[in-house]
Order: sequence, then C-alpha cells, then structure tokens
Amino acid sequence: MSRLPVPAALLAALLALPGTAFAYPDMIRHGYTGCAQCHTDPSGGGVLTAYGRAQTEVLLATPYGAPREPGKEAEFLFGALGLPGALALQGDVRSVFVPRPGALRYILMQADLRGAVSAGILRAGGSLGAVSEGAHMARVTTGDTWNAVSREHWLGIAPSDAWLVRAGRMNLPFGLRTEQHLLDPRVATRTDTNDDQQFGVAVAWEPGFLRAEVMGIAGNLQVSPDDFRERGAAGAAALPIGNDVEVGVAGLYATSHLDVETLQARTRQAYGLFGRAAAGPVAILGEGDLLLDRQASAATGATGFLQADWEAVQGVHVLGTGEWCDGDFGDSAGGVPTATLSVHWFAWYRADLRLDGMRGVLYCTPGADPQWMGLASFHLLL
Amino acid sequence: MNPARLVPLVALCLALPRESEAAWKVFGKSKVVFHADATPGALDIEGVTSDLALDDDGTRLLFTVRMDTVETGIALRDDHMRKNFVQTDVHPLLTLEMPRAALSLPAAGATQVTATVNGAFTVRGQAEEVPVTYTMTQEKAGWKIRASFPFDVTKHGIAIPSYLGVTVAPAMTAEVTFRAVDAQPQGTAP
Repeated sequence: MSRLPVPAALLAALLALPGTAFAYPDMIRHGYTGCAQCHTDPSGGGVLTAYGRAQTEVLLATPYGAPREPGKEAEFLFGALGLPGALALQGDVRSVFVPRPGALRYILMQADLRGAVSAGILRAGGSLGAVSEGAHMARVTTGDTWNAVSREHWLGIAPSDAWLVRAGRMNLPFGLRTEQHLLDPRVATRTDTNDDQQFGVAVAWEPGFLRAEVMGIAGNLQVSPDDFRERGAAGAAALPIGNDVEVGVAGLYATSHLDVETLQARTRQAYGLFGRAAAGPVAILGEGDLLLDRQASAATGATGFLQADWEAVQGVHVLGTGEWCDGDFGDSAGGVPTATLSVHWFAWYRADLRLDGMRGVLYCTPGADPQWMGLASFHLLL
Repeated sequence: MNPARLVPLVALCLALPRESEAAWKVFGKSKVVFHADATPGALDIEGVTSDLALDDDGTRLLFTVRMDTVETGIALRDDHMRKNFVQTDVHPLLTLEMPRAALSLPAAGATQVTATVNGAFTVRGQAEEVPVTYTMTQEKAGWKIRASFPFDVTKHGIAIPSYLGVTVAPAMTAEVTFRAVDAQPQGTAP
C-alpha cells in the first residue's frame, strides 16, 4: 500500500473528517443486535426511523427527570411540519474544532438534509448537504472549499420485513458500521459512512437469527472518468449470540483501472471478522481485517481496532480505542498503533459533544512518527 | 374386573409416601425471563425478574410472578408493558399452575430428568394451557429446575404490542430457573 508522508497524511485526515452518519454499534448494550429498528439502512446509519428518533431521547441522551414518552418534539424540526408517516426527514449538522498551535481550526463536517420514504413495499433514501472541506468522494460540485455533497440516494423494495433490495448510492456493507469514520479499518478498507459510499445493488436479509447484506459495486458515479470507478462486491453477515454478543464476517473485492489515490490499476480485497459484546454499562467493539492489495506488485497487510465504551451514566460515554494498520507486511514500515481516549456526551436528544485525545497516526500510515492529536466535535440533530 | 375394586387401590397408591410429596419451597435466587421477538430486524426483548414464589399444597404447584418486578432494560418500555399491555395495577400477578402428580421425578439411581407437563398459565386473569418442558437436577439440598414454555399474549387479552413501527410478535416464551427444597413441616423447629 502506498504511504503518504506524515504531514500530508495528517492533513488528509483532517480534510477527511467531515460528515458521518448516525451509527452507534454500542447500542448492543441495550439488546439491539440489529440495526433496522432505528435505521432505514439495514446495516445501520442513514435516516433514523421514528423508533430510532424516539430512542435518541429514551436511550441515548442523558435524562433530566423521570422517563417520559417522546412527544411531537422528537420529530423532524420538533414536529413543526407534521410529516406523513411514510416520510422521514432529518437534519444533521456536525462540526469539529481541531486545536493547532496558536489557532483553533473549525470544520463544518456535515450539514445534511436526509430523507427516507417507506410506503408499502417501496423504500427510498437520500441526502443532500454541504461541507466546508473534505468529503471528496461524495461531492456533487467541484468548488475549492465549500461543496454540495450527496452521500446516499437509493430506491428499494422490501417484499417482507426480512428483505430489502436497493439500488443507488449506498454505504458499503463491511465490518462494524460506526460514525467514527477515521478508524483504521474504515479508512483502510474505504468503508466509512462519510464519503466511501458506492453505487450498486444491495440485498439485505435479516430473518431473525442473523443479519446479512451483500452489494454489487458499480463504482462511484460521482467520480469521473469511469477508469476511477471500482467494480466488485462487498458483504457482511453478523450472528447475534443472545442479546449481548454479535459476531460477524465481512468481505470486499474492488478493482479499478485507476485508483483515486495511487493512479494505478488496483485491486483491493479485504476479509475480516468483527464483533460486539456488552456487559452492563460496558460495550466492547472490535474488528480485524486482512488486506490484499494488488497494484504494480502485490501486498498483504492487516488492520484492526478494539474499543471499550463505558457508559458511566446514561448519555455519558468514556471510550478507549486502540487501532492499528499495516497495508504491506513486506515493506520495512511497520504499523503504528494509535490509542485514543474519548468522552462522548449526549447532552440533549438533539445534541451531542465529543472530545478525542489520541496518540498515534491517522489514515493508515505505517512507519510514520506517532503524534499527539485532539479533536472536539459537536453534532446537532434536527 | 369390577372398576369399583380399583378405587381403594388407586387411593392406596396416592397415599403412599413419595419423595415428591414433601411440599416444596423456592430456595436461593431465581430467574424468570420472558422472551419476545420484534420486527423489523431482529430484536429479542427480554423481561427479567428474580421474583418467583411457589405455593405447593401437595396436589398442585402454583408459581407466581409479580409483573411489576419484570424489567426489560428500558424504563419506558417497562412502563408501556405494565400500563398499556399487562395493566399491572389491575392484574399484578401472573401464575403458572400444574398438577403435582403429573411431574416426573428422576428414576431410581438417576439424578436428572427432563419431561414435559401441561400447566395453566394465567395473565390478566385469562388462562392458557401451555406445555412446560423442564429439567430437574438433584442437588445436595433439593432440586435445581430449569423450565420453559411458549405462550401467546393474545390469549390473555393483550393487544399485539407495537411502538413507532416496531412490532412485537405475540408468540413469546418464558424461561424459569430456580432451586426448590422441601419445606419444613409446619410445627417443627427449623
């Protein structure tokens, strides 16, 4: 795997920060091994369902009194529009502050309006928004700084509760779907929810004893010319064990005539195991992926992460994360472990704050010197 | 044979002292888990309590759970279950009743038996006959018993629970784990 020099990698990482989707795999602590109750995307993320919006108040946010029924204010724009039941709308605004020597850099990571339709067996979903920088692979405009982005837009049919067939631009089913899109496995496999979506056809199946989704990849049609577009397939299947453990497998094959990073013909493969478990207020998330990369020469590598998420009191999470990535075992640059300590507070059911302090490297840059880094991010849900 | 001649024989058999005839009481910590599946997706909701009482009058076993003690892990969901569906203010208890004589005990020389017995499962005052499959294991002091049975909430006058698009299947299961020991005969010192 090619590697960027450290400053370039850090800059690339910061530019890549914008925009993620809701996807909190630590919800397994509440017995949610599946995703479809709260998300229109069967593998997590995307527009929240009505049930999911209610859970932001019931389960995610710090309560300030006795449990109460989420009211009309749980709906989009606090219920001001009175949307029909078949239509879900959602606004997400995410910002990040990056401390730098003598300055505090601000990035608007996400300002998306998302929508989903569920009428009979018909399903649809999409998003349109703006970012101040980054999210290159989701852009629909070509400005130097501010750009419009559309991360998802798809149509589908759900012949039953267990099946969903979709076509369009969608998140790739691979590994643990999480809003932490800079995790090494998400970066190394290009399967984040920020801008790594691809066009294709996806089939999701959740019969009760497992959840699975496979997707035929037709490429990112928001990138041109066609030589840059990857073709292939991705899939993931996860098996719940009881209510508090889930284990899964994932695979990815993608090939292009010109890779968007290396400008070489490239075939990427990734095969991984992932899992989630909960014990009281602690959720453990982990993933390990084998990386097979063929460009001018072949490379074999691996990446993974392990995270402990302790919900000290409802809505306040203390997270410890270790991650590692080495795209090529055959070269002299070894993978550099990155350790992150985070505090994530869902202060209100419409807003959450997160602080991350880390030491290591970003963006799967083996051989780079580890550095101290910090981020403060803020999310507003409308 | 004149069937009337069998009556004293049956009465004699019933009067024979057997180990199982000593009244049982629940001993130690019990666990009762109600499982419900919900769609879309796979959501297994568990309602858990350690509140289990057993009344053994020598002819029937009556297990009782106070529904207000059942917790699903989400306070609002507990509230819905108690107020909207089980209506625990009016129907605070659920019971499982089964004839004592129908229970199978381990054969001579064995320490464990697995069997199925029909019981009357009552929720909200409405009874449903359920097949209770149980495993009894003899321990130093009494028995360890694991039992489970399916039930259908619609047979107890409970509407199919549905909340913001997530619908719970009416077919549920109950799992019970407890230890039972012989109760001290009344009037004897412990």
